[in-house]
Amino acid sequence: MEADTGSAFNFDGHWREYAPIAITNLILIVATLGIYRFWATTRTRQYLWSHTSFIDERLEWTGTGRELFVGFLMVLLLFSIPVFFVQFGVEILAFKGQAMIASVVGVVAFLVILYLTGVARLRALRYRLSRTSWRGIRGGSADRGWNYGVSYCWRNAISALTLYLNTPWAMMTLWNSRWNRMSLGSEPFFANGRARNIFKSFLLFYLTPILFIILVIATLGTTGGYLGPVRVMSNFPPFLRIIAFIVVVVCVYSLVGIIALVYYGAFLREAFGGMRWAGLEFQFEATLDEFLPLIFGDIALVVLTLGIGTSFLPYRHWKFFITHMQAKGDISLADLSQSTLKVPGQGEGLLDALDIGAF
Amino acid sequence: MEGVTMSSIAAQDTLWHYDGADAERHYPGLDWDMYGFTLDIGGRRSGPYSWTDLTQRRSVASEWIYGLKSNPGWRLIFSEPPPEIFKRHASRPGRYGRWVDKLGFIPALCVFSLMSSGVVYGALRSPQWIAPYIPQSVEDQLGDAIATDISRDLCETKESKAALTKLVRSLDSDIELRQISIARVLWANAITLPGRRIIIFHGLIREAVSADELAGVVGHELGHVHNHDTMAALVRQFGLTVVFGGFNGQVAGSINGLLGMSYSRDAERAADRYSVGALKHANVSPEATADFFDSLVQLEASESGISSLNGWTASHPEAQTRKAMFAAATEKGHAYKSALTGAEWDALNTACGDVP
Repeated sequence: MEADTGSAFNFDGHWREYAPIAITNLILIVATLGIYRFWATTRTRQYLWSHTSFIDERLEWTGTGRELFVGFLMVLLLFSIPVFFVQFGVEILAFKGQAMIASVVGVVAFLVILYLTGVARLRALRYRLSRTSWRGIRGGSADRGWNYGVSYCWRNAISALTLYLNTPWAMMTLWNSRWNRMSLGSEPFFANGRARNIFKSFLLFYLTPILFIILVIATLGTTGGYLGPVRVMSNFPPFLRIIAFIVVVVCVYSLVGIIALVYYGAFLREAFGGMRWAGLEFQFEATLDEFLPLIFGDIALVVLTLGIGTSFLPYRHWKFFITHMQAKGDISLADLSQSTLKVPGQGEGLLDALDIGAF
Repeated sequence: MEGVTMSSIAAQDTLWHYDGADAERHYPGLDWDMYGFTLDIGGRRSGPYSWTDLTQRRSVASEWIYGLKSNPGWRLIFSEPPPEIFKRHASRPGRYGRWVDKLGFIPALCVFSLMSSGVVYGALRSPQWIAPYIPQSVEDQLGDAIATDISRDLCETKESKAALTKLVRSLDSDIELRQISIARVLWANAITLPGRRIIIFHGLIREAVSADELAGVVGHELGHVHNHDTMAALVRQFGLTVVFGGFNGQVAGSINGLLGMSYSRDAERAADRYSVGALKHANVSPEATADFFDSLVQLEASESGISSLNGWTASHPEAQTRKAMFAAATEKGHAYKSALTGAEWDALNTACGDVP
């Protein structure tokens, strides 16, 4: 079957249809002190997946809120509570003057958390694919993430050691490594994104210290103060000083946000562009012009609704993601059979506990 | 089959099927009776499937999607309304989640809100409930660690020590204080540390008009010791950090941190009541303490004055109410005695030497 006529991905949801889900989710989350969010996530995904078509069939989310909740409880029991006691122990050790032991325990705890973050990232992707059904087949991975966790640690360590110059390399190789362990049905994913293609966009991040120096000067200009030996002050009347300060703050933060978007957009384009599955090649085509309305729209939505609009963000992001995804190539659906992988039992507990996003 | 009516639909574009084994789409014919249904996939029969095995998946506009409990990937999709018997037999997909679906949205919302209110109330009250059950030895150890930090700034003479011991004995002859000291700190304040320790800041003695006024404050702090309020405050602090995920042990380790630790209003009121009782026990007039609160009321009124007595005002609101409480406890014409002799009061004032 050819998949190159028009877009292989299509989203036919409407925010008015999603609104009752978002609002009832929000109400139930508040009433249950947050516990309902696992079911809320499930309802959101059920809606988004079912309004997303790939080639000629809708996706289906088959996960349940209960799975996510059980995953969360397991992490709480096996991870969060021990971490709390370790932290508590470190504080007490430091308090009793055992700084050396305290820092060793602290570093070990940090490494364990970093490792488990890596494991969690892989497992969350595995869970999401295993609960995604399309044409009756599901995805998943045979990998339990233990090796990926090691890879996650040392790649991030190298990135940090090179003053984060190697961040694009760490992010891209980890993305590839994660997706290369996944499959949908009988067909594996291949990911081969190149870090060097996004390196230039990343270098923009090195401008941010300059922006923050401007911010410091603006702050000092408003309040009056010393930047090293230099006295910084402004001759503007106080009212204008404050206006100038607000303008500088908004500009600096907007620029930092735009730099992040330039890089993140380039990363996603390269990462998805390097992916293949069952004879199809993927493309993600969102440009900065398209990212900007999304992000500033998000900010406006959240601010103007005093935070209630937050519950619409998953809808906006998913719609944006799907409408900019493309797939080209030939796929033989007759050869595509059901995944023989074991279905993982619980949800994204660890990822949830560590508060990390999708993909 | 005798007595059983069979119905059927021929293969058509509006009905398709995935068998869960591969991704190929089939356009089956469909036969059914009262027990179940069978698919005809290009001459190959698939089934029979029992109605009890059938589940309705979440429907999207103009598509009715059915699955089987026994085969997770199996799907039968109608793009036109399916026969009534399918709608009747298939178990419905949940909407909000099992519990909410069972109770109904509004009743579930009420039940959850009630339960959540109970949990929040319990969480807010629990430190006060838990604190008395924390072994005294644990509390004492915790207090010792903090006290070491403050010990550098203590000032004490033999006379000041004797005066404070006498003051405590007269206010409450039963309480087993492990320490009561003066610290070389200029704020007008006093704090209770975990482990039955009270630290009076030199600034408080300097600001106080008389020993009776100091007695009211010490009585209040004795109330905190008696009611395990510091432990409750620590539990509250640790408890909240569990909720918010962060923890900063430095907080409890510094004087600033201890000042930042607030007791609940109920705990403050209880400590005041305790102080009134202690003053009565010592036969010391509560009037001086009432006057002290009166000066706070004046200070609160003039913004410029707040900073000098910030410690007391910040964590002890409602100076007006508190003043009224001590004033009401004052018996007109009663022969009160002074909390300390002139010499003892002088000993406290000079304990820190020439601190301005």
